[in-house]
Amino acid sequence: MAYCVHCGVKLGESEKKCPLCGTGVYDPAARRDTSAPRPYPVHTPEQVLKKNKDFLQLLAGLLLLAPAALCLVIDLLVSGTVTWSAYAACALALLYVAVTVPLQITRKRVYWSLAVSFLCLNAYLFLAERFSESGPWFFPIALPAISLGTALLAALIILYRVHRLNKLTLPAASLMAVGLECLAIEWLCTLQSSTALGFTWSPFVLAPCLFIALCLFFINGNRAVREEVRRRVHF
Amino acid sequence: MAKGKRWFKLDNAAKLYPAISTDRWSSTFRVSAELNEPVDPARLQQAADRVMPRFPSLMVRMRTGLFWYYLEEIKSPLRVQEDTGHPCMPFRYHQDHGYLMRIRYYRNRISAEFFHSLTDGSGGFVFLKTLTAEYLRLGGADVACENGALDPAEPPDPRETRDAFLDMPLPKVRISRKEGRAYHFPGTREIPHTLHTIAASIPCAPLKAQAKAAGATVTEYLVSVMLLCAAEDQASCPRRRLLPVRVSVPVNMRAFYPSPTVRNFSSFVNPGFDPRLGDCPFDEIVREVRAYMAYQVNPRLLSATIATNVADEKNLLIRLVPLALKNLVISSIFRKAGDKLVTATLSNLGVAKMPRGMEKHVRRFEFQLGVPSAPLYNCACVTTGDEMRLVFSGNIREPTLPREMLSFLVEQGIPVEVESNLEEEG
Repeated sequence: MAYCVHCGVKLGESEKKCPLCGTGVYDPAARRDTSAPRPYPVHTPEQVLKKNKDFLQLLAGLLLLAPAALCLVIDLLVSGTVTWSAYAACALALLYVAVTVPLQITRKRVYWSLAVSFLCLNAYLFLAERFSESGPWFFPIALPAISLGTALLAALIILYRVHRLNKLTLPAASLMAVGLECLAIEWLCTLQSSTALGFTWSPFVLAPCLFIALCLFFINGNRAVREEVRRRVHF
Repeated sequence: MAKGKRWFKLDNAAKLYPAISTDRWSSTFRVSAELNEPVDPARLQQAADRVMPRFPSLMVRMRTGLFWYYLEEIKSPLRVQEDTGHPCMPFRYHQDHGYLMRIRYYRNRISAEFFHSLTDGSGGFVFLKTLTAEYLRLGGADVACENGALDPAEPPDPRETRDAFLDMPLPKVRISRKEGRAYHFPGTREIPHTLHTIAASIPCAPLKAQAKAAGATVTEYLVSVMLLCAAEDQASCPRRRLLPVRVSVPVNMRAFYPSPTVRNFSSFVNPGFDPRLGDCPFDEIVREVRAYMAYQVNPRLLSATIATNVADEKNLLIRLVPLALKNLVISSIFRKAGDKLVTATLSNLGVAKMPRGMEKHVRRFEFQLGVPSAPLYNCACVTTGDEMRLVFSGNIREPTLPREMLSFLVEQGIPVEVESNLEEEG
């Protein structure tokens, strides 16, 4: 019977190292019986069941497929061609993406999820433009606006991860992103409408966003102010 | 057909567990008896076949009702199984005829594992003693039916399957024990279905002497050692903010309200202290634990806490909420609280009294808690004769709590012998 030279506990006959500290058995005087039976059988790991996300995805898919198919059938029966049901089908497809993508989001796959959402939203709007024949607005407005929005979101995620944005700087950066996105949307709209280039509503969004963001950055950077604010608005 | 099958409502404590169980985790525990001779599986099966009908509340499967889960009788016999390297794995409702308990054997050891909805440690121990006594009797030994070993030939006593929570006097007052998060030993969480087990054998005499010198009972002493180890570990690693250290100690309600029930009938108290108030030397920790236990472990306070849970169970509005919704609420509450409120659990079953004729054949008993829901190590202990068996079970790779706790006992001059299910790496 050996003792752990580190912890001082007596080690069971079958222990090849101390289970508490991992120190190997050291007992020059004693000959240890290495064939001593273990107190527990050898562990054969059980099949670990994965969290059943696939089932939830399938369920969501089936639940949404049924009304989509029903819409297409009714549309075909009534008008003989696909008209309004395409909107419904695309909307349901978008809903499917909205439901299932969050299931797949993990820390590692957040950019992948963002890319899928980007593609699906664009596809939906592209189809909407085609079916409604109201275009052209997808390529000149929607695509650049969504691209900028996605890029801003990705930039926020990178900033959050790399620079560890806190409770003050994260909303500040998000507000700035919202302001910029609004400015870009209005700019794209005016380009399309071939009216004089000018901003009407977006500065009213950008200005308060920028003001609040700068205030938050200032509060974050100034310790005395930060403490004062915390003291007055704590809850 | 389920027609004619007996069924049981879940008792008050049992209602929580099915709502929070998944394929990856369920609340389990196990009790074992180590014999002086190797276990004969065929004889064990025979003993199990004779003993199981004596415990109708254990021969059950979990069923889903509209508003609550319930337990339904199983007619098929329970098959004994060889032990596994990692005990107390989750129960799946569709396996083994739906049994929520297992009987296992390995070398000299007979073990019984239970889903916590069926029974608690004391109830499980009654089953184990009855099974072991019958096993020994089948081998020709003369073992009496006493000291917790029931007579398998007798019909089941209806009081044994009663929900004892409903029989005890409950005060009208409700007591809330809201507590915040407690410190957890940092560690690498293992994959599901992993339970590291470190069993320590400790002679009772030096342990009792140390506890007595500290002015505490053995349980209070061990809880204090656990708290000290947790506080020291927390102080040694730089953290942004300190958290209280707290140990959950189950309390057997049969001690206050004698009941022959083999279903759940226990409550718990959470002694601890707050390191944010400053360092606390060991003798002060012991004093705090003693004071806490003296105040909390009394039938009035414990029953007031139980009354709170029973009142919720009896609330008409809650009862009318569909089970799926109840499950959602219960599991979300458990995820936020649950094991996060305590640093570890220390469950002491006390001194195991053996029926006459069993001492010659049984070397010791063992009690082990299953996989914790949070990444931590728990500890369960039971005393047989002059030896206490402490079993640490955890789902983190680093055995910080068992190492610190057992090293402390060794430093106090208490000899400790350890063995484990940890296997050689590489």
